[in-house]
Amino acid sequence: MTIRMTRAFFWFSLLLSLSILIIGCQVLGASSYEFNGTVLEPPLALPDFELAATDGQPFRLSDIEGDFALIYFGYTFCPDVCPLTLADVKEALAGLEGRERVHVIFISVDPERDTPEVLGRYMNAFDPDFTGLTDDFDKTQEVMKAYGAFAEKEEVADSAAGYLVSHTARVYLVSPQRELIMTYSFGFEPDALRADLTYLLQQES
Amino acid sequence: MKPYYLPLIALLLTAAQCGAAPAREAAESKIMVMEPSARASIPNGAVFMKLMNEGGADDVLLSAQSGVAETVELHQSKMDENGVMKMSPVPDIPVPAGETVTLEPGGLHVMLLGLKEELAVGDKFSLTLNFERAGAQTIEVEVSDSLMGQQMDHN
Repeated sequence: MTIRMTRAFFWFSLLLSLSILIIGCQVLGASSYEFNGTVLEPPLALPDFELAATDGQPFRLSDIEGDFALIYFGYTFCPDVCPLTLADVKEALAGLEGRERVHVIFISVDPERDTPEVLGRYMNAFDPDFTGLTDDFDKTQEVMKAYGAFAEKEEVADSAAGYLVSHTARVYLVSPQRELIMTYSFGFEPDALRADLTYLLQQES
Repeated sequence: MKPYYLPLIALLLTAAQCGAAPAREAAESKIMVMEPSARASIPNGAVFMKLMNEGGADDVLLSAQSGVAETVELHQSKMDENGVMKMSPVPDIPVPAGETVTLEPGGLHVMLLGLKEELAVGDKFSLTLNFERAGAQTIEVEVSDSLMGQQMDHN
């Protein structure tokens, strides 16, 4: 009787340990991927917005719901940080499986100089698939608030530039459910962004 | 002359040379411009490079000129703790003796304001750098994409 019970207990324990091991491995396996971007926990639900695109048509964030979006606030006059970021995003997306499900949206913080024509030319120089938006500065700032982004025009005395615009230099990754899920600070590695997108697209399919 | 004086004389001569060399170089500045590059861009552009002061005197990059842009200025981008990038003109860029100053994205750069033509990958243009001591130095800048720029760093 006691021996039987001990034996039963032995098998029970063995089964239990194995189950814990298997479940544990599955849980660990599922969460083994570590994102390179700065993860928002919990994700931040974003309000919809409507801004004018370079083709003159209104663009709504809800237009691309169901797909991922990479949003950047910048301006064409910026010769340094903005082109580098766009070039890095382009590199991250090159050859990505599911590339068509990732929209790149560049929102101008300098609508005064970034007319639809100027911004359109700028976007085309990088990638004709990128979307450029330029609208009233007040309207744009309202959009930026939801992302925790900031832009400010500053007069520059000793420069032919006249004025420059300081702005948050992050790339915002928006989920198909229109939630802000990650941000990438200036100088991120294109491979790091590609890896995150690859993982997310695989999880989606 | 006894032979054991010879090493002593040699030593003295070497010592004299050691002392003389820095004294001669102190008056001059020798700037090596390395890895100059610009990215494809419109309507403005930025040129990045490394400035290595091999001389014995501190020098200063005062200004730059190029035929490809309406105006050429020295600028600096700086990021604050909130991730806000602020760009502003700088009056000059000091290049201390024996040091290398790197002009790179998100930091110092030569800013090309009002490009006369779009800069495309593979284009080459000349840029003149005016140093306080080393004088004017004209370099050739090649337009590359970011990938090429990174590869250059490894070389």
